[in-house]
Amino acid sequence: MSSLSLDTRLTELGYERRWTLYKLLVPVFFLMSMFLFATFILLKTGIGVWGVNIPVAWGFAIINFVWWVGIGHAGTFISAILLLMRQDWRNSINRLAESMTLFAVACAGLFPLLHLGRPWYFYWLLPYPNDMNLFPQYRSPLVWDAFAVMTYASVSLLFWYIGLIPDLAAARDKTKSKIKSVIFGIMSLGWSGTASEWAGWKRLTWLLALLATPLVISVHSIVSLDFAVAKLPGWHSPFFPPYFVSGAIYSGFAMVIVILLWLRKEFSLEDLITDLHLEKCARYLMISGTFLCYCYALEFFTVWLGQEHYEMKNIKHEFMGPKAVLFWLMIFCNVVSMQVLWVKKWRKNHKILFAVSLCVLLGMWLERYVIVVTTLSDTFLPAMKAGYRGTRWDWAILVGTFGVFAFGMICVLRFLPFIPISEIKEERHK
Amino acid sequence: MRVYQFREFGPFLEASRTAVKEKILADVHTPIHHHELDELLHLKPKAVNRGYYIGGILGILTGALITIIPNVFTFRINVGGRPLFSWPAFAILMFELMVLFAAVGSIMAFLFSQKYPRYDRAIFALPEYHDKDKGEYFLVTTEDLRGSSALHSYRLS
Repeated sequence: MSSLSLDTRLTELGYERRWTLYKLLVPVFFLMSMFLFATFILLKTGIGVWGVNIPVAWGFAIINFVWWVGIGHAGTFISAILLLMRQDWRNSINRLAESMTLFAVACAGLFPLLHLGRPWYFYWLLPYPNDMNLFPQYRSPLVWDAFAVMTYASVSLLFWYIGLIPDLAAARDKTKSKIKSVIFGIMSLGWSGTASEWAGWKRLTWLLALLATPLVISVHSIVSLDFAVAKLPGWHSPFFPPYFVSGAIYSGFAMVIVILLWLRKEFSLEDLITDLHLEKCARYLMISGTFLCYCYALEFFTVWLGQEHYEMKNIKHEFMGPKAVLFWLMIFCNVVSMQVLWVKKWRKNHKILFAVSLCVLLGMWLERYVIVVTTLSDTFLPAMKAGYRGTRWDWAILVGTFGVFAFGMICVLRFLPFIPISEIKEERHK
Repeated sequence: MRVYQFREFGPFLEASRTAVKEKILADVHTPIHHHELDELLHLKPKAVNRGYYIGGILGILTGALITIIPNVFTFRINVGGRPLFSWPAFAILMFELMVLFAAVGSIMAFLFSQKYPRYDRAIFALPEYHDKDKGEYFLVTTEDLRGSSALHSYRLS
């Protein structure tokens, strides 16, 4: 395919397949309405509509926040880390992955705001000038979280937009619509592809990738410190940072695989999103999953080795307590299901890969549920023991965020060049 | 000014070299990045590097100031026996702000060095630039380029 026809194909793809996307809008709008209504009820009534209680004061909000932020990390891994490693195969999927990151982080960011109870006071977490002599508590991991997630969202957005500029210019030149030409022209800032622009752009994307790479490690490590800094059994552990980061990459690649499998079929992109891409993503899924299995084994082994009473009680609670079914389901989804991918024939089977990825997404949500609820529901004091169950409003907000995420992705697929045109051309030129 | 349109990179590069030698090169427009042009035109985006380092240093300093000043000087409050200068905790914020400010600094430097937004470029007036049907490589010179193998050439006001 010539360079020019590639331009035309990739800039018009969203328009040509618009009915595929429009059909999805019905369930997506339903989910978003569910989210908005549940949020309205939450803001009107208060956190009491959720299932949180004493001692399980953290529930779905923190679980969903950690799950969504984790999913975002694979996008940054693909767009930044694989760029620095000069893995050219990432070129056709990196913008999709970055878009996934943006909307995943947007969904994640909703939960710390909503769980405040008075989300309009969220700015108290930041050091703004005030006459009450107030400063945030910088020793708290919740404040670290605020800065980390804010930095991650900002850098991801900027990295995504800068990478998009040359392709917006290509869309400006190729589109037949005058309105779109003006909009793309404004968004591309007047890019004309001069040698000076390309040199600056290349250097800038490289530097932004250099900045985004440590963020992949640091942000989810800081999120894990929300738990690890607390002196609770099952939480207070030094291996939480790498445990959470590997889990994040695991769930993120699972989401990437789900999106890629759907997209290449619906948009006929088998020549751009090839079996090689799926094979590489499956291998990264296996690497991160294997490390996660090691972390589970390490957790159980170190508790057994230490023989500390409350840690042992927590593990027993996980294995045999009221939520044991969810724990063993988590083990099946995260540990057992992934093992089928060791067989090449099954790894190349797209239906099996899709099913395993869905299992991993469910398993990673259950992991955060088990970590949060098992520890909080039975800690030190005998009196501090309670069950936990998510209410309809908990579920409505969680399921509603799928709609928010899907809506964002649909907008990108419909209106923007979601396959990086210039990077594909450069790869073919080489 | 004259604009020469090429379909292939090879002849375009040769023509660019000739234009540089004759000191009549005004600009080049390409669909992708080419290292050969960076070498030919001695392009080193130093502004982006400077924005990156200055932003990073400002980020570290900002993180240090907003954490150290209230905890060590203004409100010297013992919170659960923790040290006033809790540098591991403060380092996390310093790192995050370093990353944020370095990203913003490098982007601002890129935008300023390229004088964005630039919607009034002369090349945009050329319909062939937007169509690109006859080629995606454009060489802009201040005078006529002799012996060029360009398929098409245009006059640009």
